Amino acid sequence: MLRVYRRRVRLCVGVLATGLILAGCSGGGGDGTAKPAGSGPTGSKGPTASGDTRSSPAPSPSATGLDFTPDPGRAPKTRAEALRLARAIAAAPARWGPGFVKRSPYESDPAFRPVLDTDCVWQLKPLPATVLATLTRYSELPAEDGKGPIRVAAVVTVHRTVKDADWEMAGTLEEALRCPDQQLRQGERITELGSLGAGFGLMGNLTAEDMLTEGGKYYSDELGGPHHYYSTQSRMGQVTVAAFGKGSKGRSMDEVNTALLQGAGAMVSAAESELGASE
Amino acid sequence: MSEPLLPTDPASIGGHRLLARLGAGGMGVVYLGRTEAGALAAVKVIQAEYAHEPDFRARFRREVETARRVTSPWAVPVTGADPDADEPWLATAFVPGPSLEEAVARHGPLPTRSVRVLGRMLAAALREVHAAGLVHRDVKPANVLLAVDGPRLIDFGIARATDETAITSADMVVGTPGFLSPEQAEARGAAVGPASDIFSLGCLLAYAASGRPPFGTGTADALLYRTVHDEPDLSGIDAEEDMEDTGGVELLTLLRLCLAKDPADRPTAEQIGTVLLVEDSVPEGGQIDWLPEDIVRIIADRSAEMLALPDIEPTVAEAPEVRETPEDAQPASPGRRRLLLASGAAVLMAAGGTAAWAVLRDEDKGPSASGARRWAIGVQADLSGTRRTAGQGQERGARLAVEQFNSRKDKPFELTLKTSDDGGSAERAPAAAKKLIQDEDVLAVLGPSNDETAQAVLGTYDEALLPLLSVTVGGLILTSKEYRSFLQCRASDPILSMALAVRLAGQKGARLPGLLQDRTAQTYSWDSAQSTTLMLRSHGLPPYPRVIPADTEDVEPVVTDMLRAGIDSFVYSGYAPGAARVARALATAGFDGPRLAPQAVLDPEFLKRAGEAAEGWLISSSFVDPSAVPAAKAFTTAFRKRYDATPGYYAAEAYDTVNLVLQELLKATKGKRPPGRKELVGLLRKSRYKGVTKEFTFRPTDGQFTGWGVSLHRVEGGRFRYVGEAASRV
Repeated sequence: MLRVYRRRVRLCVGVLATGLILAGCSGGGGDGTAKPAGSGPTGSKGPTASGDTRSSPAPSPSATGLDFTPDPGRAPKTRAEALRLARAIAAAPARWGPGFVKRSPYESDPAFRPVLDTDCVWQLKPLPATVLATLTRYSELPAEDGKGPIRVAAVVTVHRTVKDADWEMAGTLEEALRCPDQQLRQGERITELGSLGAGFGLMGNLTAEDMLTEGGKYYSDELGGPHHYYSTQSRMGQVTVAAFGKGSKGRSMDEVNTALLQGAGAMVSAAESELGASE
Repeated sequence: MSEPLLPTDPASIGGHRLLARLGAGGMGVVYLGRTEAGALAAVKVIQAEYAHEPDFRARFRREVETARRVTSPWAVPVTGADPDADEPWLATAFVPGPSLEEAVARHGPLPTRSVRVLGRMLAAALREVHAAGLVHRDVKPANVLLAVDGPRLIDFGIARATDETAITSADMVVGTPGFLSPEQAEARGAAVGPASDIFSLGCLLAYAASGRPPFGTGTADALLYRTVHDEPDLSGIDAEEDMEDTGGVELLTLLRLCLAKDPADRPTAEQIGTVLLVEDSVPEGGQIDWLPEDIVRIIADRSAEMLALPDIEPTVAEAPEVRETPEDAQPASPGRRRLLLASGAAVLMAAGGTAAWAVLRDEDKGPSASGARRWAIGVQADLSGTRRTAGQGQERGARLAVEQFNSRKDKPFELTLKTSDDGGSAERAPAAAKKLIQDEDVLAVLGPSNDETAQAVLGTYDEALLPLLSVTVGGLILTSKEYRSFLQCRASDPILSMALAVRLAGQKGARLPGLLQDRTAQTYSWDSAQSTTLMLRSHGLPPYPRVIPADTEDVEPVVTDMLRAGIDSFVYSGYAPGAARVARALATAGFDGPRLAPQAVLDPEFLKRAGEAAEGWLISSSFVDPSAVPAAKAFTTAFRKRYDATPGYYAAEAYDTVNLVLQELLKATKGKRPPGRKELVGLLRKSRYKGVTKEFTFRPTDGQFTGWGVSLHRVEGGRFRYVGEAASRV
């Protein structure tokens, strides 16, 4: 199936070291002209006559605003429509870069989604009423020449409303605060997880209405560790798209990030073309 | 400041013995002279080359005639003139005191009472001018000299008779943009009448009261446009609290009347004096104290300098011309000193060259053009935007530090304070920065106003290697890049949030803190939540965290969830309005455990919206309440004396920061020459300074603040009460 993307999106994300330090990022059209981190337009929601001098940075519609206007007519309303949309958006192997292939299993069961329990262990749970559909696709750059694989995952979640999607973003940030160490599944865990969320125009987020990044260390019984762990999650209207990447022996942090940003960018573009008003 | 005579200067002019140069411009020189009777005079002498131009001589003659027609105690009397001499001259009484322009630039806005007195007396002077059938046409701060007994309106260089047909071409704007009336700005010659002077008086008084011209600053075109089309900016001029016994109208009302676009809507000078500003502090018998003490003090300081004049004029003693009047050629003789002293009050009040610069209209060039450099400390702050209170507090604190420096006997040079208003906006910030960067007299800058403006100008200051010290900029993102000339003079935002965690961890029996990150505050809330969580975890006290989307109005479900989880304390990461919602929800639920928040919540908005529910909240900040800090007692006293007001937030921090700069300046000053900007940056980053608010130290590589300086405030009785310094460790 041929798909024409409305624009090429290169995601702009911070590289998150563990803990607090987070560098700015570049993005936009990939021409290197991205705004500096944190230079979002200034809104009026902050404190007024405060002893504090900050003004509240908040996105505002402007000439440099997000190039995406949702078309209400294209918003999915049923579970079937939502699943079709998720399949259209979730990155296939080629979207992550040359050499990526499907893993097995390739797709998750769309009736379930992972939830982080009180012990910081991920468990599969049935979809809540606020979620119309979710789909995860697993791909990898296979091990070769003594290097381990780069494993990536694409997760698309279609919510009933924008507000529900907003709460999912908040929930993801909450998870990192609550559980800096998480067990992904038996034999796989991440530690020292840090996260950062930024609305459009802030911290270099020039691609989505809301975006967050997470970084940490990955350990597995199979691949050892610590390896680089990185993820991004973007919200476009009622849809969130997330990309997860895990390094392994002989794979640099840059290799993982490059693949991740390509896959995530492809998904943001796809979401825009699926949901946006035609120009 | 006056300067010695040059060997080429004449010894006397028109019966005046010349004592010193007060100022020089393109067309002539103004000397300090003394009449044979012993009175001091400002003698303006036009250079012969200009005197040869008939038009110029005619203009000068008209100035002399005009000036002679005005008789008011508040206008400078002409004591002698010869417009037909080879080098035409005009002598006026030497008026003590700086010009209003200089006084405001150096000392800030005048108190309202002073402005009212100023308005009344200048209106009286204009009444005389207008009664003589004249229009001054150039009423502006540089043309008003301040003396202890009242102001003096000077410079009738472009005044003309009201019935005189316009001699200048119709489309020529005459005067000083920023203080001109709309009809002058539009060069509507015939429409320029007495009411035009009233408009200018309004501009002048607004400047005196707020420190800023009401139509801003900038290019002449922009000023003229704004004068015609925009409403004046009268922000920063406070409504008067106590009007009962004064009669008349409030200053703000008077200013609005004077600044009416239609000349017909403005009051006359007579009306201002008899109806609008009836009162009160008009001097009777000449003895009043209408000026703030520090301006009076500067007048006295200068008079001491004037007394020293003969001592510093060896070239005069040796110059052949001087031999013609040998009685004057006795430098530093006690007799001479006595003679000068004997000329009494006038000498005691004698001020420097500012008076003369103002007389030399067209030729004001400012201090640096007249010889000795006037080094300056800059302040880039929000002086007119939503957070101007914090900006004005900084300006005042900085000004106090500079004034105290100037009053030191051992100072190597005198400093001025130069302000640049960025309005708290990232759009305006670059121009505000440029103004200070391009001013080569500026050695270091306090500012800018906030994180957003900092983003906009840090690079520019960096390129110029001009030291930039901020007491307000606290965002983490700023310091993720290494700037070469920036110094953060406060605890950063993450530190303020970590301090909350330290506080909780130090409390006996603390079990499960709740942490709420409100994404309305975007990066700030993230920063705060991360820092608090990290620190709580490191003390074995992991929080129960919740994150809510931006603009969440209903916080009750989340608060209920947190309480159900068993939290025994609460940290809110976000801004004041959200904190107020949460405070109400917690109060409704009857939660009375510790409730904490970082600096953004230290905002009247929080008190207003939360009401009773705000009581007991504990908030960290990077600033102190100087009134409650024993170490800042002397500062607070001096501040009250200087401004008749209690120092607000950031005033003491600004005071400290400027004193830190002064400490390093003095260290590296050689002779009378301060270190360059680049050298100063290096010194500052390695410096250690114990201020009244905290100790200042920095990381030399990036200027990050490495001191502590975190305060806690508790809401008590509907206000923020300073608790003291926060603990830096459990």
